[in-house]
Amino acid sequence: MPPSLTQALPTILLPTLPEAQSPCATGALAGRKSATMQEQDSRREDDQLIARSQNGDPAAFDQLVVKYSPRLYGLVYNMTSNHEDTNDLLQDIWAKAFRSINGFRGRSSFPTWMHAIAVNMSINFLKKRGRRSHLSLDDIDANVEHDKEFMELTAGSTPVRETNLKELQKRLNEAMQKLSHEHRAVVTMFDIQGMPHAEIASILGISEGTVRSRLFYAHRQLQASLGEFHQN
Amino acid sequence: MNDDQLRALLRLKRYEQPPEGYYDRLLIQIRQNQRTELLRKSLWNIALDRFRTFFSSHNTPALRYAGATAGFALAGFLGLRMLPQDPPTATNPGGAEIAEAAPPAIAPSSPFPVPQAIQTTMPVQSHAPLHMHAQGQLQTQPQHTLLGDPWPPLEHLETLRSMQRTQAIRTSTSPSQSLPQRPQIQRSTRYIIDARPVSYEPSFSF
Repeated sequence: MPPSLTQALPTILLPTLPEAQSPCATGALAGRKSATMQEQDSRREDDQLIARSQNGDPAAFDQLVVKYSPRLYGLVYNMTSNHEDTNDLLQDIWAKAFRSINGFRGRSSFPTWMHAIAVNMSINFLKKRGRRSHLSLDDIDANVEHDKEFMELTAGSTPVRETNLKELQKRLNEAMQKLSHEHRAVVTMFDIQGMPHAEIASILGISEGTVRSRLFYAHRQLQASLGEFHQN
Repeated sequence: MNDDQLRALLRLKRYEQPPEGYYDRLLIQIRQNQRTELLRKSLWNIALDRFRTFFSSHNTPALRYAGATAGFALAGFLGLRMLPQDPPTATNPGGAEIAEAAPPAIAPSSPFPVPQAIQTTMPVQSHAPLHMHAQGQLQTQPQHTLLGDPWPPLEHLETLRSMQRTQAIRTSTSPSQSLPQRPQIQRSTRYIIDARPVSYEPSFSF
């Protein structure tokens, strides 16, 4: 009889939370300042790369691709749950961005603009694909085990706990697939990618209240799905 | 499972990344696609694509609605301009010009009130001048015969007759100035008193 997952989870997962690490107040403030400065530097660099791309420099556009592909991959992959589909969609997304780069006026930040393109194209793709589900998450999950933070996280855990955690992740992926496209997009951007409500609202073109509402109902639905797994 | 546990579990998914070297291959594929697309596309398609991209970047619904309204208005205006006024016939190559040039017998400026229903339902031909003879019978000018239909429809004829009767009564008390001049018939005014005609004319019999 495996131990209860809900009892195992706090000991496995919670120490990794940034809030759980409880840094001192001054350290947190300094961290926020440096994060803001990093964002400003990143935005300045983006502006230069965009200007060069608009002037016809392909190398600048390549740098944008290299810089933002990992974030976009995370978004699209968690939307589609399929590696091949994600690969195809990413190529289409960057092709569209390449065609539209001259129309980028800087009203929003470049990552916000790219995320808006990615979310819209992913939702359109999922609507066309219908209910066909091609989960290929196991290939990717194997890489999680080699991740440094993941190894630290599971260092003190027993094999039973690791198995349960993997099973729980699998169930979570299935539960994510049951969400509507719009709810999945919000969960992906907020819970997985750690984006603020305001940026998600800007990307999706909805109000922050709608973002919070979608998050609330998505969490309730995920909890219900995983609760069934726990009872079983 | 509470909310914090769910969030912690979801946060683990950020570690799901593709195999090493994937992004380098992705960049190469993107470059290849760009080249292929450029080679495959004609100049016209590239221009059309840029045109679409330009308008998709200006995603303003108000502008779209205004453009659609302006388009409809322009199409309506052009449609009205293109409508034929009156089909020219062999006897009337000028179309409606004759009807417009003819003085309307029952003009809007006429002192007689003309029912709105008649004005709107009467065809163009029925606007031919009406002349009242001394006997009070309705005669229409044969000008409308130039328009193809020699006579107005029967239902309009009945309406015109009733109008003519009303008009005849009014002309006896207040002659209309808009009516065309007709030849005056010299008659002595007669009055009837006690069923016997009486005249202002001086009697020559003393």
